[in-house]
Amino acid sequence: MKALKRVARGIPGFYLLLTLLFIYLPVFVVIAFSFNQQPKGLMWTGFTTEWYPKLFQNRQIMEAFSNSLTVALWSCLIAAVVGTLGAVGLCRTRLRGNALLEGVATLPIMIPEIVIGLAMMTTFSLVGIPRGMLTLVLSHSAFCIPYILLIVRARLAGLDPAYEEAARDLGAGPMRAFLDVTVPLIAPAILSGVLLAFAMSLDDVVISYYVSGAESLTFPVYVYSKLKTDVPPTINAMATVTLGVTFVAVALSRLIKFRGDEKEGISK
Amino acid sequence: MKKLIALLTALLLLACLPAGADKVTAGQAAYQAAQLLSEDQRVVNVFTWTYYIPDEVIADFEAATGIRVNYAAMLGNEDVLPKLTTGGGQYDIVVCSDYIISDLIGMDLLMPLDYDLLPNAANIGVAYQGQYFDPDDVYTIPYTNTVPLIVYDPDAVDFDVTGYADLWREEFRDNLALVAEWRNVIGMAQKKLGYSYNDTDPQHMAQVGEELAALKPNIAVMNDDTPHNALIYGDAIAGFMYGSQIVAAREVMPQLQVVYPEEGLGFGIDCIVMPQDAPHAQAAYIFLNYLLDGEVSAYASELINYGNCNTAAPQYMSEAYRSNDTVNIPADLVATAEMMKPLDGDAQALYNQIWTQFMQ
Repeated sequence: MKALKRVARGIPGFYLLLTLLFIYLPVFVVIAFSFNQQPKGLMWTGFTTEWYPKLFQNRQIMEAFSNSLTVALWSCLIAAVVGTLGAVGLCRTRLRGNALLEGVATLPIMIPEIVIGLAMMTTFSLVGIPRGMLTLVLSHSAFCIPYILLIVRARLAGLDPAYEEAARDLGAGPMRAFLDVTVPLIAPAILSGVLLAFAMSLDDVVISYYVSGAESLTFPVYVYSKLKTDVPPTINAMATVTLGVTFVAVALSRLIKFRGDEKEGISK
Repeated sequence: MKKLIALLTALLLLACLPAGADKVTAGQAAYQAAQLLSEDQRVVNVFTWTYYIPDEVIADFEAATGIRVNYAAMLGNEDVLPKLTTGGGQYDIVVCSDYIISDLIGMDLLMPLDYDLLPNAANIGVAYQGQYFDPDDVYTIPYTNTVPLIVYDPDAVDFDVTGYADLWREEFRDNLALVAEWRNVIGMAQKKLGYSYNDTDPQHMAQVGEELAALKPNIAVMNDDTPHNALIYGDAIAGFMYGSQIVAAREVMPQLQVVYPEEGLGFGIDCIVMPQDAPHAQAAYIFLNYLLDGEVSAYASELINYGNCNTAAPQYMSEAYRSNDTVNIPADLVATAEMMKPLDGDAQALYNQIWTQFMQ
């Protein structure tokens, strides 16, 4: 009976381990193969670091990666401002159309990417904006906004309006109260929304493909198109570097959130 | 951060410097031609699959001429038309497959080539010229030939595979890896029955449908990008796929055998074309002529493992590449190979119906 209990107690841990393995094993395979000598196929033939210098010497890869980062940073910045303002607007106003508005604002998450991509391409063509970095940033901003809007709105909904009211009682103008009280309180939500949007922007293939021009190749499109001539080990190396960047970004955001929570704890 | 950027720049420069030295003639010719271009014309915008024109070839060309090559990655042939018709005027060089080119020509999207600027065009093999999509070679330069072939592991079965019909055998149950491209899969059944790839007889096509249904239990994997992985992982012991994929599989499993199907080969050509509104046409001609140089062409082919269309190239190829039966199809077989042509409306509907039935 005791043994049975011990087994039962072990089940959640085992389940967790299985889930984590399922998620992270493929990631570790990519990291491992970035150090593989054999350039093709998936046979392990020996350890090497030769693909890393090759990666940094490849102008196409480096430019594509830098394009991806530029697009992700700009579109997250734009989406953070628009998304946060939208969330605040949705929360603070009690209009009849609010529910509908929220539905419409978050619809882009549900629409298939290929539809958005083609629609954007056609629209840019009709309006006469040449495809390039501008069209990439515009369309990435468009699909990033809903993520930030949703997350910030959830945080705002759980936020006691008394904080801001207190600030107003004490004589702060609406702008001052918003910037000094509300924004710091919803900052963790904005940040996690931005990180999610950043990840979405960084790995987008379909929309980027249709709205990019001759000089604005992004990294995921480069990798996906590479399948015609087999996946090279430099791609595994690049994936490993990307993972490193992501881990650092997530660790930083956790740290910021942890610090923020600590402060909040003191003030309570 | 500044140090890092400086280091990266230095690394990039290092990567470019030694290259180009061994390809003096083609590089020099291109350099001479490039001197006539103004600074802002020293750009070529390429649109095709990543690495289809290999990075190494581009680095050599850039080092030799100072012309910058911007490479936009293509995901599929079907995207050329929308890319060229919406907000065009961006691309100078496009590499895409035969069946899409008739449409491009029909819509007047391509530039008639000025052969005076392409002396190396004399190197193109006659077998690849005068194809149905461009009978007078006005718009297209053949770049690679793509011939899907049968590949199998002779240790796994106790008979010799000689053609498509063998893939229907009981022994291959749940053990075939196929490309997913519909015309190629339908084509296997057409050739097994002795019909053309472009057959439109409804009765013939009904038979084709039945054959495909019979093939289905044998198929383990069907995808266009990495069917060869199924062979490597042991999910399949035979397959029908493109040459470059077979080469990749054989690098890991040298025992794999390639079969030229006795019923007849399918055959495709990927061509280089220039859009009508190419913004840097002069630089594009220099690049195109450079690619047609025998030595450059041989170098590119060995890097991408697709069939070569250049008669000046074989002398520069390594023995290993020349003796590779996957990428070097004998000329007499190429001559009898049949191309898949675009279908008209009724035939398209018929093929669609067969394919939908098969995929259910």
